[in-house]
Amino acid sequence: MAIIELRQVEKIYDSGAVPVHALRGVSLDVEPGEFTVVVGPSGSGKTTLLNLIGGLDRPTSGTVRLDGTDLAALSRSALVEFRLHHIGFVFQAYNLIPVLTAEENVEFVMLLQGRPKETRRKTVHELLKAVGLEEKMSNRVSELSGGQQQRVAVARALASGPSYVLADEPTANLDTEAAGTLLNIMESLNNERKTTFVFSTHDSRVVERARRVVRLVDGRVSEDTTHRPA
Amino acid sequence: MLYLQLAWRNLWRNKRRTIISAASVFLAVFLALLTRSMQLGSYNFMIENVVRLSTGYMQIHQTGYWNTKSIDLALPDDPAMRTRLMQMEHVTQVIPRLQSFALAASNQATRGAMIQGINPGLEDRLNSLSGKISAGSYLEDADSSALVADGLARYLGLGVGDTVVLYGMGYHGTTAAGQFPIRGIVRFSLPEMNASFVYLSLHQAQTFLEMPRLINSLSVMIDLPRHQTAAYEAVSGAFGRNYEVLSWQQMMPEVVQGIAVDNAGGIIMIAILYVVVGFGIFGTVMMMTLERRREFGVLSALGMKRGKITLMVLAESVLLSILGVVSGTIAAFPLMLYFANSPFRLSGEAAEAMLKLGLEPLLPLSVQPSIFISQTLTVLAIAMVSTVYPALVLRRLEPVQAMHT
Ligand SMILES: Nc1ncnc2c1ncn2[C@@H]1O[C@H](COP(=O)(O)OP(=O)(O)O)[C@@H](O)[C@H]1O
Ligand SMILES: [Mg+2]
Repeated sequence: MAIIELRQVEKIYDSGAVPVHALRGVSLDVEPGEFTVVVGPSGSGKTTLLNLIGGLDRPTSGTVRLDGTDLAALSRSALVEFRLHHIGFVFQAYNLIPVLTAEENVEFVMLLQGRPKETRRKTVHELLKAVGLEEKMSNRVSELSGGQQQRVAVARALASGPSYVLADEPTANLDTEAAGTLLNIMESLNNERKTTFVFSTHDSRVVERARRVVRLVDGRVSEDTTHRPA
Repeated sequence: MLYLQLAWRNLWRNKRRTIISAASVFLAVFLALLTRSMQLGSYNFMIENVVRLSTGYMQIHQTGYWNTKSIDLALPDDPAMRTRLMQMEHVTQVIPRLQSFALAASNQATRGAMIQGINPGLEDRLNSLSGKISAGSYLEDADSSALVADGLARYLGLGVGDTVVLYGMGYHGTTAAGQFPIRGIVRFSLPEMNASFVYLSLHQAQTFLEMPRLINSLSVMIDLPRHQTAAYEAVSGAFGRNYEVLSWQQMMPEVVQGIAVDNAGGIIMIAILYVVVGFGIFGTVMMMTLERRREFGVLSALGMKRGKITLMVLAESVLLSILGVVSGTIAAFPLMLYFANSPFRLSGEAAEAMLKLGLEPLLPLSVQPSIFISQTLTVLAIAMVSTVYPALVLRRLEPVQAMHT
């Protein structure tokens, strides 16, 4: 069963002077364990699509089913709770909590979930090790480089034990080397833990390594290709 | 715990702003504590002393006596009644008095006098009357002589060893007349007392006024002012049906009113102070909220409910206030404690006002817990009110919009 299911999704922003038709009838299924990249030029609707998949926003029409739940059936506060337990986020601008250390940032979502201390500690260690930052655990995140911060963000996204992880242009602020490291980490997490990733990019280096590429043009899916794993 | 820790660290993201805000709370709390401590301290001191010098915490009279001051409205000087009062909880002293107006005369002059029939031992224990003797000696229990206030004695041209003649109206219209050797001169700071008081032993006064075994008031002292209500209820429950039982507040409404006016003035001043400080806290909390909209958007995206985010902001506001309250209290408490034990000596107008009431012009500060509690609660209330605006902002929080900015 698809973990993400979009049917004829339209999104119109009408807060500005002119309504913006950001998505024009997008249908998309993502299966568990997939490693999907959404590509497309700037303004094509990638962020809008990821916001819907992330339960951060609601479609103007069409249905969005996430992890078997219809978004429309969730109240505002139920949606917050849903995100906490089902979805992991990596943002373009890292968006870690600046006053917390690396390990506290990772622990944070588990605290919100009310997980016991022992579980939290174990998970934090495991994940920071997986992203290669066990050395920097007790550093304030402001002391870390952009690439390191984004790796902490990946660890945080996984800490809640989500059904899938969304990353909106996670490499956009990173240099080539850091971007490569981040991609390696995400790939191996996908291989070893079967973590489902959906991320957006317009970085061609990233596109080459993706197994599934969904191309957006003007709010429509213009291409959806799956490569055989090597 | 999470919220407190997070809130605490968030506070220090802008050190200068936090220190300035906390300092304003500190200053307000410090000033408010000292002001209240002085006010409540002076009221307590005044009440305690006024009560000792005049009415006691409450008095028992024949019904109607207090309003008419009629000598005929007397009550029996009943040892059993006094014993019963003494056995009541909180009651520490019971003092019988027989007071009346008379004329005091010497060979040279005549003047109105307040005759005070007292139990010398009890009276002395209550208000150290013997300490006010300026010449001669204090009365003994079954004394047949008199103490005359300094001003009155001068006016009459009398001194220790001379005889004062008293005459006036006795019980039920009889004529009261007598002459009493002067055993001592007492000096009062309160001019009215100094010009008119004549003390006789209770027995002498009863004989003089032809009121054997009668008195017109029983004053009751208690252990602590805050037990007054309880004690009053007990006394009035036991004797209120046959006699009038009046609290000092009922007997001296002008003192109550004077305190109320002064108290209101202090509270208004402090309220203004807190309004200013309140705007400071509010401004800080508001800035902390507005500049972190994006961060709140992220927290919401991660699954932190708006209520929890609000709680975090509340914790920030409360912690900021507590910083001020704690430091203000730490700074004010030693001062308060010091001046509670070694009171200021007042001078000028304030001193005169107190002297007029027959009080030493001292200002002992109060360290009663209610002062600290009320200031702390006030600041906490301000901290909470300051969070209303952030709470409203957070109610409208949509992660997508918030993160877009
Ligand atoms: N909150 C918004 N309000 C109005 N218009 C928006 C908003 N977010 C995105 N858009 C518009 O929707 C279109 C798609 O934007 P977006 O999803 O951000 O594309 P991408 O991420 O591919 O650059 C753009 O024209 C953009 O200006
Ligand atoms: Mg985008």
